[in-house]
Amino acid sequence: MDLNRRDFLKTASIASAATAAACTIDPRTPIEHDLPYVQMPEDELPGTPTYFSTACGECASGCGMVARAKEGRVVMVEGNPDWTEGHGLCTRGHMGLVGAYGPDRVQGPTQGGKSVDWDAATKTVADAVKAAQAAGKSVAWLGGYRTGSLDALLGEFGAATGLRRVHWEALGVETLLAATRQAFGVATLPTYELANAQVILSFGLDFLGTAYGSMGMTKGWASAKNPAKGGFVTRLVCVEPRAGVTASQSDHFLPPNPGTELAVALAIAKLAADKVKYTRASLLAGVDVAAAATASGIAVEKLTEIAGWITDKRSVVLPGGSTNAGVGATDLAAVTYLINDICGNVGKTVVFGKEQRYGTVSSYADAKALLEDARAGKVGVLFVDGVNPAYNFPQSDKVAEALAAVGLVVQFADEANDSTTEKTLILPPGSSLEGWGDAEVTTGVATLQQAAMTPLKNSRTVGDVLLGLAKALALPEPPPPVVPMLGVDTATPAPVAPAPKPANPVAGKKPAAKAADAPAAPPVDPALGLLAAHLATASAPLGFAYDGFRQYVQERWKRRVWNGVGSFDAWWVTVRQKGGSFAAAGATSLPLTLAALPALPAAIAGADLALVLFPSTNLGDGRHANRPWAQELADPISTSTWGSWAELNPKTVEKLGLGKTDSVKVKTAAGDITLGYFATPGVREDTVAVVLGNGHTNMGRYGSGRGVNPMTLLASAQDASSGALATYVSRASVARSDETSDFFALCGSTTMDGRPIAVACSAEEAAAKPTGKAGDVLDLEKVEWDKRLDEKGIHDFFPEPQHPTYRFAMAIDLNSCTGCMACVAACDLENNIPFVGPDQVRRGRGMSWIRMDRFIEGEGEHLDVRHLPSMCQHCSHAPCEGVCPVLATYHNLDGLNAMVYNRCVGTRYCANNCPYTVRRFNYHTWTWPESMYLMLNPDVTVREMGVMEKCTFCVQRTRAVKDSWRDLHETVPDQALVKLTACASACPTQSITFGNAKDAAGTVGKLFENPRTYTLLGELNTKPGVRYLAKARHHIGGAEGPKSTAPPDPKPAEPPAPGKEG
Amino acid sequence: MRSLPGAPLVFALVSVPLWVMTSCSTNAVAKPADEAIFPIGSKNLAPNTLVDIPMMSSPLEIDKMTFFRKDLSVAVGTPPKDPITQPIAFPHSKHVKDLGMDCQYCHSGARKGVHAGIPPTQLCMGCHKMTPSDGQNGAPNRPELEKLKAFWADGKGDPIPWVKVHDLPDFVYFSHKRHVLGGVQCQECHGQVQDMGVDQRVASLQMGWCLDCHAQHKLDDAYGSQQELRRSELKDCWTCHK
Repeated sequence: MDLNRRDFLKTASIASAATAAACTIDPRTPIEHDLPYVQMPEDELPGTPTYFSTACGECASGCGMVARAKEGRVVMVEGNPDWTEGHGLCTRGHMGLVGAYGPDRVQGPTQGGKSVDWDAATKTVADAVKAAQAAGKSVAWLGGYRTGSLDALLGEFGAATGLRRVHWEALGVETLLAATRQAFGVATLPTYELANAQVILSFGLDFLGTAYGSMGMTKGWASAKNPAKGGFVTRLVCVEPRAGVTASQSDHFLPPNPGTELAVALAIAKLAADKVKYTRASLLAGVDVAAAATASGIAVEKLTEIAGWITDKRSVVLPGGSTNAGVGATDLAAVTYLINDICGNVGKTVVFGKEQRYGTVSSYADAKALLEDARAGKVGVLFVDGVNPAYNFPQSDKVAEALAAVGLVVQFADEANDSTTEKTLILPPGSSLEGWGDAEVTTGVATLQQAAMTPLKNSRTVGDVLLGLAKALALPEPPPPVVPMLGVDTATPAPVAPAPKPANPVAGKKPAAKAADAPAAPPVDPALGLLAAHLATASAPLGFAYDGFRQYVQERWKRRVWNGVGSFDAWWVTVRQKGGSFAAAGATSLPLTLAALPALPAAIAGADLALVLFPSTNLGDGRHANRPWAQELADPISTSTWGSWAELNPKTVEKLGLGKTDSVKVKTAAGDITLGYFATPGVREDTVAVVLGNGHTNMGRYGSGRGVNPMTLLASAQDASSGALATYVSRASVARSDETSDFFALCGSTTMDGRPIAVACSAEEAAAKPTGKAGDVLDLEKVEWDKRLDEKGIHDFFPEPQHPTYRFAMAIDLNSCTGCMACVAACDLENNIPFVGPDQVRRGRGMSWIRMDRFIEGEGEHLDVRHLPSMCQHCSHAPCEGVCPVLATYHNLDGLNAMVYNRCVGTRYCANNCPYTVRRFNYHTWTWPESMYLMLNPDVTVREMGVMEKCTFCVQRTRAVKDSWRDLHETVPDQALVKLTACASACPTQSITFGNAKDAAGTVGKLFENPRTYTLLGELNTKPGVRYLAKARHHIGGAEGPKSTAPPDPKPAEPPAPGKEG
Repeated sequence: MRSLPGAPLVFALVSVPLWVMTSCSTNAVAKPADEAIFPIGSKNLAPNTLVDIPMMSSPLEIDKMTFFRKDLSVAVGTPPKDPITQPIAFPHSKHVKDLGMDCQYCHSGARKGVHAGIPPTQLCMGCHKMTPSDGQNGAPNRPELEKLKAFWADGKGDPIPWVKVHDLPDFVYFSHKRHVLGGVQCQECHGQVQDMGVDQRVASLQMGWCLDCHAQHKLDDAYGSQQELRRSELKDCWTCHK
């Protein structure tokens, strides 16, 4: 019988359709409804997104952010390109979107599981406040850092009610503030200008990861790392016990004996001071370098070398992070300021005048005192805002008892958490995408948080609640500001420009009343009069008589931020469009006033391992634990998901006799935890590092009961000078446990096995040759095999695909890639990528289109960690295309490796044939909780079971941008493409660049001709559209770069010499 | 597969090149609670299907069989059995033919965005506020208009639940703007709407129907020498599939 394939399929399909019909499946499209607006908002165009410039509310950094709303729902968040203090948006910022649609959000004010209406809730709180005041009990506030308008409102509210304010965060900055007070006599935090720093010496600050203000520092570091920008590649020296995101980027990883970081700092200070003939050398007279070297275990020669680097070149010394959480943390930070002063960095890379802003900062001692008073029954009302004390305090603080002894606990939280009890009154403030607010980043740089969508639940922002309480408590209004009557006569309008809301007495009525009383003044320019009036009100208290927090924010910006020139309304429109006011103050210097130096510290005593806690990159201090996508993102170092783990040195693992699936019991005097472990040379042999973030008893459906809370291990020790909680103080016994580990790493292997995958080159060569031919500074024999094939006349089996207009391509600069996972987070949210849960992740069914490969090579000082974001490489000669039996994947005219979901029958041949392993198969139809469907990007198909998927280079975005430029019959220009894809837009270091490779003068075209550029698995001749730029390191994989100025490596190169390409 | 205990199942994703994703552990079993927290929309494909087919006892079982991928495989373009009825019997002919209104007066997104847009009730009321319809005081009795006014309710009513006549599957990217600016007349896809009472679908909206036009329709002159390129772009899967 003559039956060809098509006919066969036709017949078969008719047969199956007949079966379907017989089986009463209605073959028609299900009825769907179109629900138009009743009244459409102005400028709304259904199907076209609206962008709101706003501020991220996930931590106190207050980064600028753009929210993309479609039909009234925010479906994506990205970095604000207008924002000056950083690029992109971090992982935790992206996860704010997930939080907004969280299925565990409370519906409205709730107490003991019952909902309360807002009026009743406000009355309950107001009554409780009055009762507490009458009974002589205190009304207290235990919250996270708040800047801008909320801090101002809290200040006035607190003054009027006698509120006892404590603002404490687990990853706080109180030691740094105390240190600046010691060293410079001011309690502000300098900004670090890393862009010009040729040498960075960090004492533990995770400035590329979880530190506050990390986005600004990451931006600066990325610039300093780029040889094309300053002609140098910054040298990063990290002195800390564990290599996290930041120290994994270091050229010199120097973990001293636990607890002796201060000795290292003192020795370096002494050596540097001697070298530069420091004027206040007498301060350092007592420092014994040899003793410090002995104590710390770092040789004098090494210390001298570091002192040489930081004094010879523009440098910066950074305090903070986990190292800065020991007893004596403030002293360490103060000595780093001293080193900065010795090196002449103050005013240049350590900058005052544009300080980092965190609002009111309290110490752990303050918080502990508050909890003690609460336990003693002295607190009538406790507001808990943005912190989770039951999780973040050591157990010895007995937080639960303290909360139980408070008359009324008012918790501002969208979801119940560990600190919620039956008695707690939960007042949901809503997501930062739903309400108004603002944040101060540095002096002069403030971001404005706009409501980008209407609240999904019955929520009110904290500011609105406080204004409502002020009304309920009848708090007195502040006296009106005294306005000088310069040039204001009866003919001049009211000095403080027309009141936008007549209900606002401060802005409208009172100055006008003053104007009427004014004596006749000589005619002066009315504009000057307005300015004078503006200046007079600029510092006056704002009071509480506002319709809502939105109006409060606007009035505060009018008085405090606006300069009073021109029309406020016009300025306000600009501010809302830009997302804030970004007029950074100038850099100034301060004289060092440090009077005395601390003595050499003793190492953390004991026979066991020193205990270090570190925050999770994806879950922060634990507040993001109920975000399933955050849980499923791999940790940059261990690549673990959905749980907790301890990090141990491989030698320690050997010593303890641990098997792969064993877990360890970490025990201190305070308590013990049992968890899986990850073996990495990034921790010292005598140290155990435990991740923070999981181990919640009550954190919604995704956060509860996962992993362990390492705070259990802590006694309540404090840093003497600042009263900060000391986490890096104790030793813990670590032993094999009988329990089977649930630890799971996505990247099971840590080595490249000598293959050039994440390639590195010498920083010196890269700096000497910032431009030139592709691969100039690399070992081409290894990384450019395709060129060798060409030279040998071995030709392609496949014809060269045609790309008439575009060849969409991507350049990824591994040099500045920190593995921070922001690209993966952004990709997950943009492309409707499901989370699959721990069980399925373990089976290798995780769906993220970008896999962050992580390689840990070398050890000790020359620890060499490299990250490689690998997504679909969009090969011109794609191995996946040829094997698809149904042509579901093919190469299109734009150079994209297209994937047609409908055509896919799920053979998985393509995934098997992909050398980059970047295709993902839907083993199931993944589902979301109902509320999370609102978050889906309507421009991207939701895939289902049996379908293969992979990175599309955000085809929905390329399609949209091509569409806009087609209207003009023009090719999309380079600038419109550079940060087009979700990953490129998210990248805090701008390591990912997207563009049209046909445009040789374009950004990507130029990067493809960079001396550091290579193709991944180039020997396969797949001609990918993604190319990588090698990492420039001052030390490569334990071996010395060819032209390094550093002394030769004492250790011989390892036999397989992995990653020794430079 | 989910029910198989024991050794880690290593699938395509983890097995291919060893330099990535070689799963390093474990024999841990997911907590029972996870079943509820991570619900899976359908059972596994291969094993269940093989078991299900011989055991299928009633036609209804087919519905449960994920094998068919029901939501993807519904016959998109099959003409509806019965004429579509709308909550308000909106007469297109009255507005377009009799009153001479342009399509884009109401469907104003057609040349600007991906959706042509269904007008907000507000737009209808812009004219119909003036149209007497209650049959009182000699005014004509227009029940359909009364329905509209009920939906409006001084701007506080509910949206009119129009039934979609032209409903493309969710995996299709279709931009009205591109077609309108490219010189495609509304009637080429939507039929002679000006002659219709309640709008009815006349085209199949199946892929073959789209492609016929993509292959043959006259292209905008502005493409000039790029005509051929544009034609091949129009036949690219990712022009419409998303």
